[in-house]
Amino acid sequence: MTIRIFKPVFFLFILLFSFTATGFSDDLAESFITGIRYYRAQNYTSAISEFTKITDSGIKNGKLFYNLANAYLKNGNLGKAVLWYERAYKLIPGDPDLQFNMEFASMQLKDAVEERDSQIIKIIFFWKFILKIPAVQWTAIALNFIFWLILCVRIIQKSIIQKKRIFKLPVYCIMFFAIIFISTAFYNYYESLTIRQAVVIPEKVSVRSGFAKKSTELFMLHEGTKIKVEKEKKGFYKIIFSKDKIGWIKKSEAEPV
Amino acid sequence: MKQAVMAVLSFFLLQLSASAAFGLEVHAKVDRTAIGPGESVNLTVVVKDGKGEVDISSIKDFKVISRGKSSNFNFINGHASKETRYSYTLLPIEDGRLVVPGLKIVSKGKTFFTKQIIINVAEDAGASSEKSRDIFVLSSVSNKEPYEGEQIIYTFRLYNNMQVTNPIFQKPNFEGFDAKQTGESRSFGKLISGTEYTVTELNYVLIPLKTGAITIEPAILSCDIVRRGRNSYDSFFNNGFFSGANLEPGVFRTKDLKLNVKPLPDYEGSVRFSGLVGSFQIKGDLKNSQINAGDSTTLAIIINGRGNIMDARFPDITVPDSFKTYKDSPVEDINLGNDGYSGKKTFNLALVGLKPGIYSFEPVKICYFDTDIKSYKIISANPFSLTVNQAENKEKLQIFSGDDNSKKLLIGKKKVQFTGHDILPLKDSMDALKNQRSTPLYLFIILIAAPGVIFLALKLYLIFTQKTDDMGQILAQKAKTAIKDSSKAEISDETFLSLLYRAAACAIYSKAGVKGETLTYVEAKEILLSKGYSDETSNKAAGLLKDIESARYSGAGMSADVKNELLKNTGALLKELLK
Repeated sequence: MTIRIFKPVFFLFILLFSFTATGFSDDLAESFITGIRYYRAQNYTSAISEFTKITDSGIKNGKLFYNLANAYLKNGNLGKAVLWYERAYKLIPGDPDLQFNMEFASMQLKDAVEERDSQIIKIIFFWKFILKIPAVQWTAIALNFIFWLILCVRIIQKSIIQKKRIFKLPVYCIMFFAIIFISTAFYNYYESLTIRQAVVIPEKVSVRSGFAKKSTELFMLHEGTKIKVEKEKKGFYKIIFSKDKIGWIKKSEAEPV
Repeated sequence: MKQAVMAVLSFFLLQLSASAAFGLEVHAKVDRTAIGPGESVNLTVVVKDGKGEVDISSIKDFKVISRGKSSNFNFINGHASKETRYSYTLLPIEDGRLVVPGLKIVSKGKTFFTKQIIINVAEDAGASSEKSRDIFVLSSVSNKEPYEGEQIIYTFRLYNNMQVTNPIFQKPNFEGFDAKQTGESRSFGKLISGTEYTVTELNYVLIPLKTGAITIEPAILSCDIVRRGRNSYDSFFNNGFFSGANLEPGVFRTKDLKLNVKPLPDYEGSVRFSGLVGSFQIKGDLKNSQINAGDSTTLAIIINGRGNIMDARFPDITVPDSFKTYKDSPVEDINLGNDGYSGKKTFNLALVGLKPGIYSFEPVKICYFDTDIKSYKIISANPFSLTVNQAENKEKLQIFSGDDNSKKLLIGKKKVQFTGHDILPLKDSMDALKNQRSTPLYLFIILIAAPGVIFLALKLYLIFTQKTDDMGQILAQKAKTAIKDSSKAEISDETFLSLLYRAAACAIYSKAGVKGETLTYVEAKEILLSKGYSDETSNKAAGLLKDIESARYSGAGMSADVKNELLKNTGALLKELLK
């Protein structure tokens, strides 16, 4: 009796949910397809508008961000293009199309990239600069799993056949690499949670010694340049461009990645 | 004899104490009281019959250089006296009537003062006239009213017609200038009013860093003058330390130099000011006048001249949109000579033609401040044109007949180069609308921690399940206890051997996992071989059992060495089997 009543209610719920979900997706799908059409028709402003509707709805997808960055780049907004490429890179770092287009965009930047990371960080977490973030994470997980698996095999083998333990050298080697990868992965998390990257949006930005109007202009940055945001105060960001180039810019002049 | 020495010493001491009773005598004296600007005065403070510290802090009109102290002891007409001389060189800070005030000398809590000395410093005073001087120094600048950024030359010259040695040159600190010595010192001869001087010259290039009145402090040269004759023309740097020569210390100072650094006039021209100040030329040089689309050529812009050439920046070069440009690092060829910085700086720009056509490039212009005409000047490089041809699509292949052995097939591999530049297209698959999440931190921690937790759980399980019924561990523990007990000193030989046997047997049985305390050598060997131990280990264990049994049942007494040997071997066997 209970099942008989529950069954139609359950199906009704599924039906309602699927309708809602389909309606939501259709709008986004329409914007997506329209955005692509506009882009192909070289109407980049409209394409940006359509893709932005989707990102505003909360969708986070590397391919979508890549498309939006392409539209911005074609529209001549280098700063916004770099911003969305960087956002896409966080989600699809290994995508070759993304890497190619990022390289193309970076060739148009006016500011040469300067050294920002300390040498010690570069030495300790060297994998960070060779492998992508997910690759480091999954390598750390795999090595850690193999390490513990070998330890399990060793204690089982010891308890069953009462013989001296095996895999002595491999276990040390795997432990060594596991430590390196796990610490690098944690450093990546630390960096993503505590270090805020941003991109300069206007064509030219004055970086000043403080946030007062009369503060001395220390140096200029141009659109698309990546900066590190150290702190935020009174509508200003304290930014670090390189080890020896630090200053304040207005919040409106840069967008966080 | 001894009494005579004592008498002489007592006499000396009496004399000294008698002279001390008269009190301290102090006085100051100078070698001359009239000098010219740049000359120095030697001041000597004499402290007689006692010790004292001279306070020179009250001398305000002179720069004081301490030249040490000397002491001498006199014994005249039965009266002994000690005299200490403090020597100083005084360099006048300004012209006029300068005062060496009474100097304070403190001795044994009492204060003494020397008398005040007046020194007249004037152009015509004393031996200040250049004509009458044997040694003098001069400094000058090439321009007393330079513009900001304009290089000028500071020259220091030492004129001497006497030999000097041990020169120590103290240059001014050149505050407000970027200063650099232009090279080594040079020497030459010069006749002044019939007297031939050796002139030693040092040059510095100065670039003013600020505007307004700037004073260059005096340069100071201290040296030893060799007094052996009036007509020595030896080189300035020759060592004058030879027998018979008297070295007299001397300090020479140049005058202050007052400069007025003028700011650059306002500039409102259309060409950006390059920051260069001096005299410059510019020229352009294009490596090829024709290239294929996708190929590159180099445009070199060379700026050369005299002035702050090192500050030259990459000039603004207007390039048609059909070219991709790549800037190279500038190449500097700058020399520092007696007339300052001069040389050239070359800026290379790689041009990659993207579309075929004939392109004219506007002349590259720079604006600099010309110090000769004292105004801004715009100079431009020669204009040029560049023809970009259609890229050749087909590689030329040389085809040879089989009988032509003198020629070889040459297909050169070329690095693939971009012939156009654009981004890759959009991604149109609908999965671009799916939300993507990177591995969250908590999931990563779980995945990292999970295998370790599983391992610990397994370990605990094995500990609890094997604790009670693992015969191997029980026997291993038994073996360890037996070997421990056998090490005790108070036990008999028989008990010792019995414990050793038990330890070895239990260790071997622990490998088999079966209970037992006696076994034959053959059984021992078989058990170990079956558990994967080597022949050597198995034979060693069997041999040890045999040795223990032999000793146990032979009835003969054992020496301490034999006991130690058996204990050591049994211990080694346990270590091997129970690790």
